[in-house]
Amino acid sequence: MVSRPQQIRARLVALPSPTLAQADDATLARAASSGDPRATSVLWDRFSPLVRRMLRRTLGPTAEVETLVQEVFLRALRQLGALPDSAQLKPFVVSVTVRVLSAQLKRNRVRRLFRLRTPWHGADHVSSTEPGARTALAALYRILDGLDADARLAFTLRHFEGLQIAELASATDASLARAKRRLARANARVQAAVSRDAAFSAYAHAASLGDVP
Amino acid sequence: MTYGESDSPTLADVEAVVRENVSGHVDGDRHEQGKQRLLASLRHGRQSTARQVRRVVLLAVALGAVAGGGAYLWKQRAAARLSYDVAGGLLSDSGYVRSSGPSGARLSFSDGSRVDLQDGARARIAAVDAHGARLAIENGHAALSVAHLPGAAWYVDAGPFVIQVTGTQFDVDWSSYDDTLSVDLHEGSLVVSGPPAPTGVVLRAGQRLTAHEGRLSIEALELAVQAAEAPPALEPLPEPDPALADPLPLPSADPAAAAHF
Repeated sequence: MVSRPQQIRARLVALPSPTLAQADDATLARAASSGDPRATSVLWDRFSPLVRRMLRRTLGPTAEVETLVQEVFLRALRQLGALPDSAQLKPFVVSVTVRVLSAQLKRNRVRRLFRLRTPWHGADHVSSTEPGARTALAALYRILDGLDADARLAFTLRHFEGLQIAELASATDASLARAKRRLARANARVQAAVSRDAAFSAYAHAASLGDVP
Repeated sequence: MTYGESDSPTLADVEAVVRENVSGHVDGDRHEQGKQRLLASLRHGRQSTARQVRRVVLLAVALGAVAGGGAYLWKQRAAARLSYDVAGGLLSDSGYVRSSGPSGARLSFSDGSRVDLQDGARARIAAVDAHGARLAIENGHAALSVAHLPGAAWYVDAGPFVIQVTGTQFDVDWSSYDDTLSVDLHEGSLVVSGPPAPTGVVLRAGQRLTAHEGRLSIEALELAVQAAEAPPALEPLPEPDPALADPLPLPSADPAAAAHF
């Protein structure tokens, strides 16, 4: 019996380019929009943590986030060609992420109406191993599930990502006044809900006393 | 920890619990897997786009070829004259047709139309195009069956008369000796024009038109046949039925002219 030699297939690997890794946003955007895989690689290294964090903090640490990260990058790379050279990449990536988030929040709301969404577990992507933190996060995201998509986005972008009101308005394509109203409405509802929630209150109280690791 | 100390949690507490516990960090392997997945999606997307472009181009070329071929065939067909042949008769280069035997001659056209010339009848094929032909009956009896096709246009000249046909079956008898025309229409309709009716008169199925000595009459074909078969001494010819005539509008609308022009 003669054994067949194992076939070796060549594979192109996009290695980070030292030049592109240090390039400014405009140069990187031009290179990526022209289809340079090294630029795509640098973009991923530079922005995927931000995108993933925004998705997790807005949706909750669920398994579908990685698919959405891919969707954000595919959309962003498609639209990069139309980006003016002077535009900064980070606000652009944030705005694309917000659009993907908005669509996903609306889908999730419909799924909840028909009870199609699986329950939130929060085991995979929570950095703390403390059970109290998991319980508090579960309670918090149940509360956020009660907000509509726009109010939830306004709340999470402002409080979890630290966007200023003007940035929030720009990222959500809303006027300043409308962004303020959405945020105020969301603040009031979340504040009232967490105050009533025993699990979250207990965790916050324990944390204030230094009783959580 | 930056949590407040009051019993009721604040929005700052909410911020703190999320910021401290939910990050965008993944380990190096997962980061690299995500990157490779993205690059693979982009490669696949470009290949799909190229395939789609190729398909669209091929489809456009195929559609263009089909449309061009169809247009060419249509044009060829539209431009092609009807062909014909003669059986039982003689056909000269000038289109003159004459029966060569007692059974008469048959002209068969490529669109399915037929013209049967009785023994002794003479005709001329004056013109043929893609939609029909123009025949001149010089003398004698001809039975025509014209295929009813879209755009069909046939004309039969008999002395000073012109019969316009679109698709029908009829017999024409023209006597050049006494300038008498007789048209028996079996199916469809046709228009006969001549000196007694310059603008034409419509003949319908089951009617006979007779023109003689400047007069034109239309009668029911059945009655006319019965009259022709009856002994002349015993039964007079029936009077033409004015109600059967269906003239085209004439400048001088005289009801009597509908039956006798």
